[in-house]
Amino acid sequence: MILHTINKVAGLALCQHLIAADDKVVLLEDGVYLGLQPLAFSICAIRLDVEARGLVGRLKEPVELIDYSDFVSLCTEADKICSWF
Amino acid sequence: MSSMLFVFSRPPHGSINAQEGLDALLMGSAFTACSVLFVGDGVLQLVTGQSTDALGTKNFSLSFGALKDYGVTRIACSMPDLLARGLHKSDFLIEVEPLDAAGMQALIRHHDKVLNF
Amino acid sequence: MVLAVTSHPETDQEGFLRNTSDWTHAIAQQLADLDGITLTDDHWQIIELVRDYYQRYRLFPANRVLVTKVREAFGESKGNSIHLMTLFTGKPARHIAKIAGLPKPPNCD
Repeated sequence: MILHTINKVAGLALCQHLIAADDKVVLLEDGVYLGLQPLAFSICAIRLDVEARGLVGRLKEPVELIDYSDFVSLCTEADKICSWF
Repeated sequence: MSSMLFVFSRPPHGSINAQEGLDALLMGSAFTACSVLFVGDGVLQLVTGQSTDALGTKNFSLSFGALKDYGVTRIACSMPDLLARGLHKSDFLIEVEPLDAAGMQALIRHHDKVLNF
Repeated sequence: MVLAVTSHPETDQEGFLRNTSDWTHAIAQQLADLDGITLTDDHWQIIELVRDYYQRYRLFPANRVLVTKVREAFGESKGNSIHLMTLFTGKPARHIAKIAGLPKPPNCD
């Protein structure tokens, strides 16, 4: 599994064509604002970053909120990690 | 030894990222199999006719011509990002392999590490 | 032979030319003298090759690339690290770049 992390809104433009169907995507920091728009793939967002920005309940389905411990698990499960910033 | 894919995603002269990515790629190629993929505004690093003399910085775009000497395995770019900027392969300083989404995803899969600059 | 030294181009603390465009054959000779190197035809072959490479790619070739390029241009007997080390006293990258009037290569001590 390939894990993509996006920490800025502009990061999506870089990786939108690079995300395969079975990859996982985590939004963090300002990247969580991407959850306001409909996205073509299923994604997770770091809960703390979502709460800090007042976005709880405002994100489009199917954004799944995760904690840092979940994030760490995803990182350890991933074959490789690509950071888009 | 693990293979590395360097992704260049920034325009050339607005920040140090592009130059640093190239330095890292040239350095990395001494140790392991390296490839490079230009995406987003990174494709702008490749256009011909860059002239930085008046700016007082090094025109490192010319250094892409040396990638083959350094043994860089594959030199590819994002076809959609190329088209979105109205560019064509013939605008580039060097021979580059344009890839569609599936091609780029395969390139990522086939490398052990992916670094974005 | 006595060289008429008419110009003293500006160099940095380590003796690299500040301005690549100041370079001439006479200045190369001066810079080589400072490093205790007497330039022969073998030296000039390498200097010209590296200047050409830099002109083309704005890059000082890494050692393995330089060796390959020298081998392609001048054959097996010269395309090896020992030949370069012998000509340029153990630190080829540093001495070649300095004498060729190019910036100090990255990672050369």
